[in-house]
Amino acid sequence: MSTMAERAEANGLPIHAFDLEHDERLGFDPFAVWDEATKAGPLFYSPVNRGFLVASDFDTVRHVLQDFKVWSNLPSTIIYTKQPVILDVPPLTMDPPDHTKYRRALAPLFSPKAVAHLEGRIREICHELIDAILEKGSCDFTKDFAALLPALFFLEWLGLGTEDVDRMFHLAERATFDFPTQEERNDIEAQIDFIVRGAMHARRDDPRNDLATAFVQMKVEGEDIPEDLLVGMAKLAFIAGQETTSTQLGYIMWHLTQHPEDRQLLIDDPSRIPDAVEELMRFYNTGGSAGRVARQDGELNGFPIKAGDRIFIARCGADRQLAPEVQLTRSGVPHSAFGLGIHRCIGSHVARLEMQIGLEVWHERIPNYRLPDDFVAKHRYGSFMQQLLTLPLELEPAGT
Amino acid sequence: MDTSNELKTLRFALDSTLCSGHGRCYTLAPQWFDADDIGYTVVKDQPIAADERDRMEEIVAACPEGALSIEQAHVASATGTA
Repeated sequence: MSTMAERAEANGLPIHAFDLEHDERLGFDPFAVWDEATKAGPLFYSPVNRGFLVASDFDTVRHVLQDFKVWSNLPSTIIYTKQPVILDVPPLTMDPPDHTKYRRALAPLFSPKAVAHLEGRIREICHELIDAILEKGSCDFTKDFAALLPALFFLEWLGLGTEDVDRMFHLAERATFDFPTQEERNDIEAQIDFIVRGAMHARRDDPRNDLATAFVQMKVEGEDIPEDLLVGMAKLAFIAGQETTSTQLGYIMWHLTQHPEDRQLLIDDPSRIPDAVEELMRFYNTGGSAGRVARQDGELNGFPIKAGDRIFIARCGADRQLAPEVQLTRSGVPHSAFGLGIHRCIGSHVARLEMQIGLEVWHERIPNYRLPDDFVAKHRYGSFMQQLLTLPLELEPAGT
Repeated sequence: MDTSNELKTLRFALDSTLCSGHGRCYTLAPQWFDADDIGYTVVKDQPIAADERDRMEEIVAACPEGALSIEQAHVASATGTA
């Protein structure tokens, strides 16, 4: 049985070292690293860590994510690391037919109709955060707004107490960025487990209009869902609801600080914000644990695949390649920032609401802001997502 | 003479095995698409004027899954004048 490396050599597949864990350039310019990977070819082999293939143009990315019969989420979607990392976040960590049943049970909770009523509360939270920022008189956008909006909103929607937002938020951060070993991962998951399990127990006896209640009331094929599985799914919702949206808001704002004409477009016409969010996601989405493992032999772009092959889905570079620059007014260029296929991010509708409302309220209250002259962007990296470490803003509120 | 009927010749075809509920179509073109209870797409059952093709092609391109295509609509039986 030939290895991926041997087959790459034998078949003339490009070989390019793409290392999300260790490439220090990610700390200074992650998008350059993604773009460089895209240039290596639509499919290439990265001989780093445990070795893996990389799908890096949109067609190949889409093909793999749509072909769930060949490309599995098991044993883990984290395939690019030195040490294996096994997640327990169902139904992401499931294949059909199990995945199909649980996804179908979850979907109504996150549909556009289900989340539409949350808009008012999202708007209020944005105003509260901005009130606090204006009172402080200075702002690190990543900490003071981007990280807090999804955390406060989501934890409230889930039904957890916001008194402990900080603690829970840091657990999510650790889950996303700090899991180099399986033991550390297990420890974080155990703590999140405990919090989430507590909420669910409470809601069985005291149902409320929140997500934890909706979770305990879910049925699959008419039956209650085992508690461990419920807790696992709620854990995923907990982690996925925070870091990804927070990171994306940071990059969106970073773009707007550097492109005042784009910022003015949104201030002059807030109805353009939804299209703008899509285009900015296309260009600046570094996130998502996008890996797959081949369940069976096959072929991809003419390259022979063997069962057990690992592939990383380089969506960031693939999406950026679709159009070479940001154009906020267009709507015809797609992106895979929310994934593709059966595991498409179930939170996408609420994530969009948060980002759209966040931007709208921010620019209504603080249309004028700038980066300090000496600002140099630095990014956290090492896991499957890069994130701005800080985004300090000098503010001029509306009406000053 | 009702010339508007002659112009209504197109419709969207949806490959529902590919639709994963991104919602770009019903967000960008609510006149042509609905969202069902879980956020997946329902194509509205009405023929579309041929001069809308450019906009239709934009919506086809906007679907990240490539689940949409454009077809000739079945034209109603010729009971009207032409």
